[in-house]
Amino acid sequence: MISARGVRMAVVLLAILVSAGTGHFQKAHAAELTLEDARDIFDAGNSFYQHGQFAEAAQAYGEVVDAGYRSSPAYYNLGTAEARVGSNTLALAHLARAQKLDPRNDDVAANLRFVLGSMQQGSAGASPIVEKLANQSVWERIHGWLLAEEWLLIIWVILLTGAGGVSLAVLTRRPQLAMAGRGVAIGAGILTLLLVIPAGAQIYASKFKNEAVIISSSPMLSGPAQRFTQVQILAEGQLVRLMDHESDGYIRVQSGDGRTGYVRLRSLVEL
Amino acid sequence: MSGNERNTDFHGLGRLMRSFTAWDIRRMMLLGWIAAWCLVLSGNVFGQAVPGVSASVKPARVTVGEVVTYEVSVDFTGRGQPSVSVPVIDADTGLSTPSNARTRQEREQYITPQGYALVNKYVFLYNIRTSKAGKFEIPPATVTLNGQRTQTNSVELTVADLPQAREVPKELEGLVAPPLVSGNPELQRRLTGGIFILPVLAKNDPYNGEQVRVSFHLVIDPDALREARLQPRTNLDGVTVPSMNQFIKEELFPFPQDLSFKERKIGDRHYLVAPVYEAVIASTKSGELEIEPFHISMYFSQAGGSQRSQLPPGFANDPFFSNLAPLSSFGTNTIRVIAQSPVLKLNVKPLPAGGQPSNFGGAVGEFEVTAEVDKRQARAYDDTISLRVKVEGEGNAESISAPELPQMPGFTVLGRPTTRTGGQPTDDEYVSTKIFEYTLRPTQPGNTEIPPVQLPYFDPEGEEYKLAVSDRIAMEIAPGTRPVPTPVQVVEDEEDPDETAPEVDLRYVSADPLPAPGGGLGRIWGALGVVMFLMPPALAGASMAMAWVNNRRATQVVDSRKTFRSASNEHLREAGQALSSGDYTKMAAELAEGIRLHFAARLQLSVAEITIPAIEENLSQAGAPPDLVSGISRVLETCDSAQYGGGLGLNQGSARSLNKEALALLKRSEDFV
Repeated sequence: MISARGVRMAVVLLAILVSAGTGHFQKAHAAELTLEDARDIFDAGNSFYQHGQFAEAAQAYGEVVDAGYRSSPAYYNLGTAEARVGSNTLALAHLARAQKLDPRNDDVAANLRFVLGSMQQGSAGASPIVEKLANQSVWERIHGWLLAEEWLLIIWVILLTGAGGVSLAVLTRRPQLAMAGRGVAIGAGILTLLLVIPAGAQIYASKFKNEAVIISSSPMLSGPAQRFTQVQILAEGQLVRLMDHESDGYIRVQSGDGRTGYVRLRSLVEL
Repeated sequence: MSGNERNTDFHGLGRLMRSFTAWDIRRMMLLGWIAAWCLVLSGNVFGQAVPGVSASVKPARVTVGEVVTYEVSVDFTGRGQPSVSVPVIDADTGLSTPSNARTRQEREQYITPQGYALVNKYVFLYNIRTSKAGKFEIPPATVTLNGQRTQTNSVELTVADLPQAREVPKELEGLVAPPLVSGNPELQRRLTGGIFILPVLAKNDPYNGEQVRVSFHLVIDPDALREARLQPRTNLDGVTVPSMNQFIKEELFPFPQDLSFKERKIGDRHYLVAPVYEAVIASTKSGELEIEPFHISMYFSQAGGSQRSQLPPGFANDPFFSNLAPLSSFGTNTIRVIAQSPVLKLNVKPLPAGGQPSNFGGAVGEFEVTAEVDKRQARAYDDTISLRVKVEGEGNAESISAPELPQMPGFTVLGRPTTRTGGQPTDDEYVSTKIFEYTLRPTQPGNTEIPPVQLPYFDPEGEEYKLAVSDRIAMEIAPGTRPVPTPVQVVEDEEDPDETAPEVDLRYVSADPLPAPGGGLGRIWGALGVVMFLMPPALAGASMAMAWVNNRRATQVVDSRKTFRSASNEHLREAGQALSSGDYTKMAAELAEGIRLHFAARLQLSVAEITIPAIEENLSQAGAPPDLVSGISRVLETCDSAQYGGGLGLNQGSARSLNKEALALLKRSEDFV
């Protein structure tokens, strides 16, 4: 007996297999994916991966990510499949994104280390993305150890405790309790001030930094079309800052040396 | 004739008619036309006439088992959407509640008592299944239109008993069900035992999950057809295969395009028998389970008419129906006959609990397990190996879960196995297969082996649990050619060896379900986060507000204490003046009031609470010595006695000493309150 889920799975597998050679599995379709369909494609990717069809697996995971299901498992699997295919820069970008979404995941960290190690041994060892990920500062590790949301939650709990301390200090008639309340309130205030710094850094890094990595060498143009003059060539692995929203397949970026220009959207991956 | 004369001279119809001019006639025609349209409009727009409702049943006479159509017709003008509430009938009475509603809508225009109107006609059709013989009255249905409820008429239905089956051979007793011939009990009686579906079940009391073969055969007695003067007229009308929902079903022989009849002698009667369906079934639960009747609906012509019938494709090549060909020249009445099988009952036994292996996965039948790999030689970490475990045998493979793989040192199982199920009917059995494909990664170089894979199953023939075991597979694992990469030293953190341990390979992809977007802590960025972060300041603010209110109250208390204190001093001063002036009564009164207000201010008591016992109690609690407490009580009592006794007992000397003692006691009390 073939279940309905099995039939759907077979159809999805077939669609991916057909589109694998032609590249016609469009984002427009993917954007309309329901969670159930996305899960089917994700499972199909796992099935491809299990059978050693890593390119097909990467494509399946890519569809899931493009459809907006941007979770750590999706990026982790995508990065791992890309690493199997040999697209190390792309793998690094996706694994870095997975780590951003799940900073304490051992598997993500392990595969990130593995790909970094492979790239450092190879010719791409000096690329900025490798430098950035391999030489993370202690400060980056500290604030990156928790998600921005987790930092905020901790600060909220501390603030709530501090508010409880304030309440105790001003409402009780017992001097000892009032003293303890004042201590809690002051301690919570100091702790909040201390935590606001890494929390702010993490919020900036995750929400406002808008960093991307170039995944294939491409020209940076003075305008959003091929006819504009070339400003510079951005090499694979170079980091850029995203400036504006995309238009006509191009996006305005700022390169490491401060110059701005337009790059094809498909040439970069957001970190 | 002037216009004035026409209006005043009305003597007789003839004169009146003659008085009309052509212009008047045109004006009257226009008015008539407008009036007619008003009539039409009133009928269409304003007419909300009571709907005409009626109920009927077709056909009104049937035999047990037949389905009749219950029809509710609603006619109305104007707008609205009628709804019907059908009568609820207790199934035990022999009729089912009307079900499977279909609606037919028609519109007609004609003159109604309310005017020329568009009449809407809705016909609601329901099925009623009959299960007992008798004369039934179906209660009225209720029609609701625009909030108005109207009841239909009740309907009579006569259900006749199924005719007694003709003599059937003993071998077929209990296996023959009469055909359904709508509205013709006599023909139904003639055909009973002459046309039916014969079920053949390999086993009536299988174990739960045991595979059982079931087949259905269309059986026709040519003599019975001849007696009834019937011959096949058209193709088969319809076939209803039992759904067998309580079983897992593998179809072996689907209903064929052309029926192939063979003559069989059962008992003393000759039949033409054609296999129509065959399947192997396995129950999904134990207990008494049923297989619903198999139905084949056919059309026959009854001899006696003038139309020449045509043999259907299904019957065209059959010698039996060729023999009936002479009758075809007479066929005129088309009769629908539904051949059916009886309900089959199976008593499914549960699997014995005793001796059931802990890793039993539901396999019932007789199975063999084989295991094979896609390659015997592989490189550690570089390659993956596909291990194919095939479970094959007589039994229901669909329900078998993946066998537990044995401990395999030197191999890692990647993910879950893929499964594939298949089956192949043989002459007298159905062999089903289920293939589980595992992906293994060798991790240790050397000559090693994949241990046997075991599958426990229940053998219904031997009525015991058995074990199917595959062979061992020898493997040669070579060292991997991929260089082991040097790990990246992310930071100088030597305390945590796990984080900097060399990664020999990429870790496997995540098989966890894809999480839904926007869940978890991500919600903190929405309104929830705003509410959360407003809570602490709100809590602190509310506490501070409460504290401010409390402070304000405390200030008022302090103010009152200040008032008491100044009043006390004033009274004590007045007492001194009264002493100087020789008014001892006033002195005693002022002194007592001064003492009481003194303690009211210091003990935070109201004036009403300043009694001698209260002062004693509070002073004692504050640690005042007993002589001080008793002295103050005594002074107050003396002052009160003098005050209310008109200064009795006080002279200049005693009054002065009383005043002096009181002031001394108050001064001493300040150390304690």
